Amino acid sequence: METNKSSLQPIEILLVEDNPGDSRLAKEALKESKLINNLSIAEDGVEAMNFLYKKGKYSNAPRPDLVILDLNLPKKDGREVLAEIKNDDNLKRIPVVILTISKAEEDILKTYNLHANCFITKPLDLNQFIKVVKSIEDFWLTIVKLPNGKGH
Amino acid sequence: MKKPAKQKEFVNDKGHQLALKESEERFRLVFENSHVGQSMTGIDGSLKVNKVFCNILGYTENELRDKSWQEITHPDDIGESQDVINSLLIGEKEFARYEKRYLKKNSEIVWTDVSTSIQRDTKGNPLYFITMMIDISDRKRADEQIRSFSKELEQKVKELDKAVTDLKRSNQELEQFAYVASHDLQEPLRMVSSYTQLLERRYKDKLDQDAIDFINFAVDGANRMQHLINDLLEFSRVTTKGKPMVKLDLSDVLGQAVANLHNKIQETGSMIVNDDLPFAYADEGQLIRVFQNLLDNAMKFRGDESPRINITAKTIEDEVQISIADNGIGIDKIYSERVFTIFQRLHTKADYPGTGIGLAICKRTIERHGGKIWFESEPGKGTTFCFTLKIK
Repeated sequence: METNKSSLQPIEILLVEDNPGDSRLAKEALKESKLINNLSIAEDGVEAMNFLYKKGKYSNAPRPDLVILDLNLPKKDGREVLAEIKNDDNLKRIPVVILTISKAEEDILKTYNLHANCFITKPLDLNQFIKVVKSIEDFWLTIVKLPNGKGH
Repeated sequence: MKKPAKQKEFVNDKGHQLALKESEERFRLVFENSHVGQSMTGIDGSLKVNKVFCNILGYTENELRDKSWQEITHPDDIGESQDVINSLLIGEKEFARYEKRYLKKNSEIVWTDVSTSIQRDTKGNPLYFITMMIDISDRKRADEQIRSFSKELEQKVKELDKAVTDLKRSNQELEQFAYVASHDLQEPLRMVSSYTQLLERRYKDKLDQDAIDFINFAVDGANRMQHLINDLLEFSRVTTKGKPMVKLDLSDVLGQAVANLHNKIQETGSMIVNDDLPFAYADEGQLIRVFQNLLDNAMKFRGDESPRINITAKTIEDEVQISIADNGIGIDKIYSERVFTIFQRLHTKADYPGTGIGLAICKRTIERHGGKIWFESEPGKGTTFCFTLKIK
């Protein structure tokens, strides 16, 4: 698996997160990851959709292999972004990981029947956060095994 | 008795006169000896009264002879009395019964129930009014008292209603506040904690022991705050995010709590023995938490021996009482209220870690379920926590 992975192109990740502290933390944690990745950041829901539709300044944006989505976003919230992705034939295969603030929030969100691929609670502890990134790694490695999993 | 004499004109027969005398005498006897107040008021306003009438008003018969009815009637009731007199005079009615106030000799007011009828001659000309009157002051006073009591009661009920509404609202606001506060506090806290840890992780080699100590204190503080926030959040969620009560097998609920505590039970070498527990109505997640908190405490506050926890149930009418008895250090009775208060601790954090919220959550949960929670204990001899749940 290791050798296999290193031979692959870097994974394109779109992080939709308005809090710079959180996005920087994700960036730092991904730096320590074995996963070769390109991290792009969108700060609100509208920007995220522009990125995905390659609109405006994002005309050259790569198609993400993975979207990590915060739910509480300005302009267009995470639930709407998720719904748009899952309703678009071109985008719906992109795996989406939802970031939640608490386990409690996750429970509530699940009741909305969101078609998210994965829920992850934003951890307080840095070591836990690194574990979360590791779990995204594992998640990714599971996904790449799926047919047509990789977009490019 | 001036007026009846007039009737003589119409009576020429001796037998009739005799009969009239008898009739007058009968009337006099009834009038004088009646146990209700009686008066005869002439059309000219002259007044004749009986003893009871005098007694009620505190006058002598002579004193009253010179008074007009208006003089002994409460000024506010003269109008109504006049109306009654007028309607009797014009023949609108033969008889009227109403309540009126008289003025006693000593100026006190006396409430009376009055029946007045008009007496006419054979031609139909009015002769005099006959009034019967009973003192209803006691009844009026009682009525007045009842009215004022019920008014007072109404006022109290209103005040109470308002207090309950205010209390409900302030409770709701407080719960909302606790939820929002604890929810929104997590993000800045995560920043403090994560970046302090990142600092240590990346620059450990460049930092001296002091710097690392400082970082550790900062991280430890942030962690403890996180626990407090989580507990506060959970505490506020007992009532705001509770699920409906369903019929549950309490043995299963206990089983899940025990499973959640598996590691701690192993570590402490605890032994948990339980009765076959009945069914009861509860919110499963919350009840698991109650069992878990109580079992966790029983293991935490252990004595020298390894913890032995005995769980029993007894059904009393429509409730089941669950008792969780341990052989731990026990709790002094004087703390019976305090242990259930949020953030109240009886021991230092160094001796027994915890935020002091576990029992507060238990109490809030059990109360939400309509039950009670308490403990029985003797220091050094263990503690038994009891709570009740509805089985119907």
